[in-house]
Order: sequence, then C-alpha cells, then structure tokens
Amino acid sequence: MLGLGASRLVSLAGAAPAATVAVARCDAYAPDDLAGAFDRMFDQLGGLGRLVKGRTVAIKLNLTGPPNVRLGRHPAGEAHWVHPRVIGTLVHLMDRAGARRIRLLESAYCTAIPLEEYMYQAGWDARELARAGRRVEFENTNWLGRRRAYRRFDVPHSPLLFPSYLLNPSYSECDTFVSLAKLKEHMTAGITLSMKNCFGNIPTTIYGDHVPEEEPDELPRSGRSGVFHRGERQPSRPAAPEVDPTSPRDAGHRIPRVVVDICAARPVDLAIIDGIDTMSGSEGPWGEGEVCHPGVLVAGRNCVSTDAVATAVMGYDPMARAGTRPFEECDSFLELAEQAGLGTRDLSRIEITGTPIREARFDFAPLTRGRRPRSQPSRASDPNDP
Amino acid sequence: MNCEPWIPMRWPCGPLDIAEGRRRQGFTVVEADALERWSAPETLEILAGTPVNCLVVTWAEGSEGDGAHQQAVAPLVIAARRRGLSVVGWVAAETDLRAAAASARASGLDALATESSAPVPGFDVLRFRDLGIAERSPVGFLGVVGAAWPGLKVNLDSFLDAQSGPTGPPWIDSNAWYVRLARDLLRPNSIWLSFDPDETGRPVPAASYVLAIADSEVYGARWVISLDPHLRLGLCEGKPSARETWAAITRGVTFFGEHRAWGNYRPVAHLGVISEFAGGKESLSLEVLNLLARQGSAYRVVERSQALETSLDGLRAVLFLDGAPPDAVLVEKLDTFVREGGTLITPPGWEERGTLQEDAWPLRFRVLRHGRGRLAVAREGFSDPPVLAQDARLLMSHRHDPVRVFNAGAALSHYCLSKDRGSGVLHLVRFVSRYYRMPVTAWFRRAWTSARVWCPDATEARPCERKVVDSGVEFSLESVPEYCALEVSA
Repeated sequence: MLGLGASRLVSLAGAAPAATVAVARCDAYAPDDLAGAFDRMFDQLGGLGRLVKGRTVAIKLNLTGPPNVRLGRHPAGEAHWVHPRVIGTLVHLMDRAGARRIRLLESAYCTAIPLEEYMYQAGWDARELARAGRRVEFENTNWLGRRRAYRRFDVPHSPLLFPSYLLNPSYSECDTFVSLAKLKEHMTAGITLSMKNCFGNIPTTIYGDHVPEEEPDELPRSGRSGVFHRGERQPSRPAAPEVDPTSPRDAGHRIPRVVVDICAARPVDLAIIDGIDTMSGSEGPWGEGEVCHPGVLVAGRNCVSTDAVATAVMGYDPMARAGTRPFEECDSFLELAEQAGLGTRDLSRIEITGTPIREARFDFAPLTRGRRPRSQPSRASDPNDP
Repeated sequence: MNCEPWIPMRWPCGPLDIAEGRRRQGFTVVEADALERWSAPETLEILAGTPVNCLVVTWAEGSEGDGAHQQAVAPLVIAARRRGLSVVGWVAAETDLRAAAASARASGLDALATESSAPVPGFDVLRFRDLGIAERSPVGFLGVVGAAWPGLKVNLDSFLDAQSGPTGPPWIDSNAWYVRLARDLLRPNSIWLSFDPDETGRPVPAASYVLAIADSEVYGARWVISLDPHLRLGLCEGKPSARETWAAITRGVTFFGEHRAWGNYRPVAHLGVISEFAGGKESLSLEVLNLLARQGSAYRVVERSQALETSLDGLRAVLFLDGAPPDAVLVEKLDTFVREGGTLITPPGWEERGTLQEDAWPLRFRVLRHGRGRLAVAREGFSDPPVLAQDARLLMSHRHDPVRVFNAGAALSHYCLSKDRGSGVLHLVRFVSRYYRMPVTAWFRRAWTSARVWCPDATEARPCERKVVDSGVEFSLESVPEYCALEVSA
C-alpha cells in the first residue's frame, strides 16, 4: 500500500532524527494544573525560552469542524477541539518565557471570518486568550486575509503527493511553529495528533472543492476532499498540481501523504498534544465516537516522535503498518514520515521523560465502536478534518 | 369577516382542477385519481377531530367549465357546511369576480380568494398577491401565493443531499424572512401562505409537512395546508402511512393553535435593518433579510420612512441598506445612535466621521470610531447579499450573540420574548442534520432559570437540564425532531 515512492524513502528512515518527548499526567483543565504540567514538560524538553524568547511564535490550533457542533452535550474543547484553557496556558507560558509575539492560527471550517469570531460561535471568549499574553494575534488561515499573496512551501524531500503547497504567509512569518493538537483518532488517517493537525494549514480558497481551477476564490465555502481525499480535481492555479495524477485516488493512500508533505514543507518546531479530555473513534462528532478522559499531555520537539509516543499512549503501536490498527484502511503517516527522514517513530530511539507510557496509557481501541468502516473514509470524513 | 379562527386547507377536486392538471406536463394517474375521489363528501371525514375548519376549493377560472365545476363540487360544499366548516372559493385572477361571488353566495360559500383586485361589493374576498411588498397599503388580511416550499435545496442529479449556498452551508428555502417583513411593513391581522409540495413522484414525508407548518406559524403566518396527491389518494384508501402523515400534520396545526400566545412575543433584535425595501436595492434588501433570517441573526426591520419615529433602543447595530444617503434629520438620529455606542453599517457616501480603525474587520469596510460607537462604511456599494449579511453579523460580533444553538444542523432559530420579558421562546426549525441523534444544546446569554421543550408530537413539555456556564446558561434539549420550541422562564 505504500506505493512506488516507498523504496527510495526507506533509506532515509534509519537517519530519521530522534528527539525527547515529554509526557505528563494532568487530570483537569485547571489553569494551575496545566501550567505546572507544561512547566515541567518544557523543562524536560530543554526549556521553553530557548524556543520562544524574542521570537514570533505561531500556534496552529486544532479546531476542526463547524463551531456549532458538539459531541453530545460536550463543548468542543472537551471532545474534538484543543481546550481553550490549554491554549490560554500555553500563551501565558510563552509570553512569560519572552515570546515577542504569539499568533494563534487555524483554517476555520468553510469560512473566512476572523478566528476570534469563530471561537465566539463555539462559546469561547477570545478576549481571554488575547489577554493571556502581551501581544497575541489571531489569524484564520483558511484564506489570504490581509496578505497580498500566498506563500509557497516546497516539499524538500521527494514529495509524496504535491511538490509544494500554497499557504497563508502566517506559516512562514514566524520563528517558531507549534502544532497544538488533540489526542484523538481519525477516520481517514487513523490518528490525528500533531502531524495530522497540520493538514488544517491548507486554505480552502485554493484547495477547496468549489473553487475555480483558474484562480483562488477568497470566499471559502467548502472542505478540501475533492483535491485531497478523492483526488478528483487539482487545486486552483497557481498552486502546483500533484506529482503523479495516476496515483491512487483513495483517501487512505492520499491523506497520509499530504500530512507528511505538509509537515516536511512547514516543519513543526514544537508539537503539543492535549489528551486530557478528548474523544475516541473519530476526529469529530460527525464520526460519532464517544468522549473519554485519558488525562494526559504530550509534547516534543519532533512531531513524528511526539506523535509516535502519543500513539503508544493511545494503546496503539506506532510501528503498525497499513492494514493494522489504527491504520486499518490507510497507510501510516508515521511510517511515511520516518521514511522521509522527518523523525523516528521507533520508541526505542526516543527518550521519553516525565510519566512513563505504561502509566499514561489509555487504550482507545475498546472505545472505537463508533468508528465507521474505513472502507468509506472519504465520504465519512469531515472536509476540514485535522 | 374575521378569518383569524380559520385553519384553511386546499381541497383540490372537481372538473376544473382535473382539467388544469391535464394541461400540466407530468400530470399523473395518481393525481387524476386523487382529484376525482377528493370531491366525494365522504372524504371530509378525514377532518373529523382535527383543527382544520376551512376548505379552499377551486371555484372559477373564467371558463365555460365554471358552472359544471361548481355543480360538481356543490355536494362537497353542502356537506362541509353541515359539518360547520367554512368554505372559501378560489377564483382565478382574470375571472369575472362579481359573477363568481354571485354563484358563491348562492352556493353558501363564506368567501372568495383571489389574486384579482377587482371590487366585489357585498361579498367577502380574501386578497392574495405574489410574494413581495411592492404594495404597501395596510391590509387586514394578506394572502400570498408563490411562497417557497420550505426545505433544503436538493440536487437529485448529483446525488448530493443538499446544495451548498454561496457561503458554504446548505441552502434553505424558507418564507420566514418574508413573513417577518410583511408583518412589520403591512401589519396584517392574518397572513396566509399558499404553497404546494413539490411533485417528486413520491409521497412527501410527514416531517416536510411539519416543517411547512412551522416555517409559517413560527413567524406569524398560516399555511394553507396543501397535501400531495399521494397523500390525498392514500387517505381516500385508508392507507396507514397516509394516516400517519396526516396525523403528524394535524398535530402540528393543533400545536401552534394551542400556543397562539407565542405569537405576541417579540423577536429579540440586535440589528436594525433600515431600507425602503423598494426601488433599485429592493432585491438586495430582501435577499439580505432572507439571509439574516437563515443565519439566525437577531434583527428587526425598520422601514426608512418610519425610521425617525422608530426607537433604536436595544439595537447594537443598524444596517442602512439604501444607496441614497438619509436626509439630515435621520443622519442626526443615526449619528446619535453611533455616538452612544451603536454601530452603523452603511454603503459609501456616508459622511465619514470619527477615527479610522486600522485593524478592523471585515476588510470590505472602513471602520471608524465615533463617540462610543463605530461607523462601518463599505469601501464599495452593497452588491452581494451573502457577503453583506455575514459582514453585518461580524460587525456586531458573535461575542454578543444572545443565543447559540449546538447540533441543530441546517436550522432556523427564532428567539422571542414576552412583553414583560419574563419569559421567552426559542423556536428551532431543523431542515436537516447530520447530527439528528446528537442532543441539541441551547446557550443563552441571559441566565434563564428554567426551560422546557415543546414538540408537536408530544402532549406535554419536557423539562430541560440547566447548566450554568461562562457568561450564560445552557439547556440540553436532548434529541428533538424537525421542530421544537424551547420555552424559557426567568
């Protein structure tokens, strides 16, 4: 299932970098608990100041799907969105560590409204996030916004699906790029975590289902499944078309490759995963599933290693191949990323600090009864599905 | 004549309706059979025990067949009268209304209904018109033809469940905006909406009928019930599925009859929309209202000619839609509104005053601080209703939303308060949802102390669990059908 590109990538796997990953138990979203846990984790990773002091920090949030959708009665932050107190705490800690500017980024579902407005619709108070630091900015990266032109991000290794991606310039106008994700599964990609979160970097003004192929449409109105999941069309010009238009049109083949491409093109400097309250079975309420309480936080400098540890915390084997849990119907983006040299998924090569995996482990597999058969991933997945 | 107590139902039958059907492409055997059988007086038995008390029958179209038709339906009319039902005769616009009235009087009809404006002394006529507000003279009764069958735009060709609107979410056909506009501008005692189900070759689901009732009643109108031919024939044949659908319809009508008091509640409004609703910007202004209603925006209509006399109290923003700037007196009133903290949204041409806010959204506006409020002047003339409706909502900010509903799917929400503001009702008309099995949650900024949910298919209201959250309260409605009303109390 890995396709023709696999053989030339395997050689890079052994050289894939390994980095420390910090794991912490955290039972609730109480600000003091969060601050204490993150403080310890960042110390274990070498200190937050090294990463943010005097820098512009961009944090890609995971706010997938419409803001007025909940898993049952649970507010989005308790299920499929990263919790607002996690965001606020991180903003506070980064500000305290000397960040010059902190920018909160997300490509809001089907819309170009300001990110703060998107948050208000979910019942969040964006002003509280803004007050958590001295200079906090919000940007909906689903479109160009105030910028003049999209920024092209080339995939440095042999691209797996597209040679480059056009993104909102916010993803380049930062010194430190943070992927702040949720510990959850994904109907198409198996798991979400910090790498899959970056799928949401991509603007639907260019890669959306209904945009003209001649040029972007600055009024987002759809998801991206036509270009990415089903491969039934190419993005708007001037975005580059995919490398091999004869490659499989199956979402289980394509989405893991986009994830690896995008993480290679816009590397993650710090991966943070909120696994305190989350959901199993899917990336959002549209896939049903149920809420769960792993009570854990995971963070690391390397997104592949961080996601590998998080995968293990979820009770899955990060070395799992396509066809086995949690990648029953898709390729493993962890494996593809390792082969591309982005990082190792081999737990024996990763230094894990803080709470050992065996103590943090929370098995998702028994909870995934809500998961739909992976044979229908492209229709079942939400179009904006980090 | 007071037609307010009438619950009308279209009763198609007889030679004229059959002939009209045969002239139409796609007229089916089912339709013909239904029309034949529906003229039998026994069919009135289906109305027993229902609130429907007024038949609307075709009466005249100005053809040679009028007499034969009237003779054919006479037994039905007599039987209806015996049952205490009112009977209204529908007369085509070009017909000699006096002659139709004479025959109607002789046959015992209560009134005529027509789009004709011809005078008819001595006989009651319910005047219908096309969906529009070109004619502004106040009316006691407003009948409307050409209203939309409420629902989601379905694209059967592409096998998609719904077509996206210009802003992404599915496109909903609804008459809500029009009813609200007509009530504000024309102030009729009664609004009847006449629209028929689309002929799809299949029976219309009961839920669609409930939506048709709710989409009218919630906003203060009454639907002239119109059944699809499959249902009419099914009822004649006593089919259980037809009976179930009919029961759902009558439950819906009964429900709104039992909650007439909600009709006196006032919509919560944060946005005032000022326009002539006529002239060059008429279609834009009407479409903006349509979209604001679909967004669930808390708005109210202010006719430009009445703007000086209309209080802007309680509004956070005013959207001045017309291209022609207001006169000096209205400018002064709006300027005061802004200086006291309101937001004025205008097309270009408004004298810009205040201090420019460099970082303001949306980009299509120059936003200026003025007094305690803001002036948002569009950089270009208003032209795109979806964009304008969204921009207006953003300029007010979702931060101030009085209510938010989660997991409602493609739905209309309408939030109203009693005159003493001690209670309220949130109507929820759900057109479709991927999340039907998900419990719906309603958040209110106001900390209502209790809430109960009413559904037409339940005899009693169900209390809702209350949860205090940041800046408001939430009530869990659990799983609710295509329409429900959440009644909240202080």
